[in-house]
Amino acid sequence: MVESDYIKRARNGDGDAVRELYNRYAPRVYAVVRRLAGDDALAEDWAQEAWVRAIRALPSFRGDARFSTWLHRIAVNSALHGRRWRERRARNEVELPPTLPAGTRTEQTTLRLTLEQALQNLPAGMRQVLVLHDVEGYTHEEIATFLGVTAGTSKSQLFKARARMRKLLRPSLENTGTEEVCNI
Amino acid sequence: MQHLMIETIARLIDEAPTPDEAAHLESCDECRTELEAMRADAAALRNLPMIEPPPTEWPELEGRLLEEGLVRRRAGSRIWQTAAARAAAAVILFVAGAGSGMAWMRGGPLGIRPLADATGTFASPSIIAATAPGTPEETVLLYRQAEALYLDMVSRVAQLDAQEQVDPIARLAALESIVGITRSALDQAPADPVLNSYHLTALAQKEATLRQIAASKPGRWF
Repeated sequence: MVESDYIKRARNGDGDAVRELYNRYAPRVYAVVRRLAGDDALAEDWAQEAWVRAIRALPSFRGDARFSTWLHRIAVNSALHGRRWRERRARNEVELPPTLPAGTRTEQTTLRLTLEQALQNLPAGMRQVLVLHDVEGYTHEEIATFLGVTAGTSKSQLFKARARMRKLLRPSLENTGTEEVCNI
Repeated sequence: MQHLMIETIARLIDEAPTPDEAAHLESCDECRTELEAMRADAAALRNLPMIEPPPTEWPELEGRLLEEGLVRRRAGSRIWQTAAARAAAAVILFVAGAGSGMAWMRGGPLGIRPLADATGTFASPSIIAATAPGTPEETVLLYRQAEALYLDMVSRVAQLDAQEQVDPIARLAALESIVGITRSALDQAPADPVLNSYHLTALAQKEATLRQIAASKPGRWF
């Protein structure tokens, strides 16, 4: 059965079809919300929210874009909306301890763990732009729309985020005594 | 020499340098090296893999979709509705996860002895995972099986520690596996004291290993 058939059936409330779509795209949805969230507990909430919104909005999906692209945008919006909601509601909450994704197995994944950990340690604004641009491949114009900022602001945040990542990945840079100058 | 600002170097990953920047890069090994390192970071970020959601995500999502009337109940679906059932589900998840985790340890890089199927007291985890306990006796049996599996996993890590040259990366991977399994189980039953004790112990060991790795490679993360 092709994807469009599953979408049609899911639109009519067919649980098996929804499960099939979930099986295909859950890792992609979870990856983007996990990286935007910076922790597992939030990511689980936001991923579920993204799926509920997507299934609710299925009747409006006309197939102009690929389903995966459409779903991915819903996931990003859910995560960004979730972040703002959480910031408004819980400024004084204790941050959950950072955790690494489960299921890592080999030495090769040490690099991935390092990158994920560094991403997690970025300030939320920088992390969003870096994830959306460098991990997910959105343009500055698209990011600007997601975040309600200008493309120039998105670029500026990206460059700061990359610089911060470099420092996180190579802690010796922190000891140079300067934030802005490449003073190796 | 005044080097390029680090944010300028970050910009040059996407954009062409100005003539002045190009001239500086031509003559400055340090800035060129930094640019290459930042390009490598960006490439690694582009290649980050998908992340599997926790196994509890679908049952919870299905429950919510049903509640909101967005889907009809599937013929084979099972929604956990009571606290007792959720606790049982957590242990099932733990047993199933422990089984697959040990399967990896057996075939993985650790070179550890084969799992003693000779314990003989319980069925394969996949079979157990497919069947919710129906009576208190069956639930008790399930907890015993979970305990046996946990102790077996821990003993495998202990065996690894007993080797003459312990590979901290392998140890970290083994502990990551255990933490992932216990975390998934706790998603179902956050207050379960047995599962919590397993999880906290595994987390503490993992943190100790991470500190060991960090201490062995000062100034480098990997």
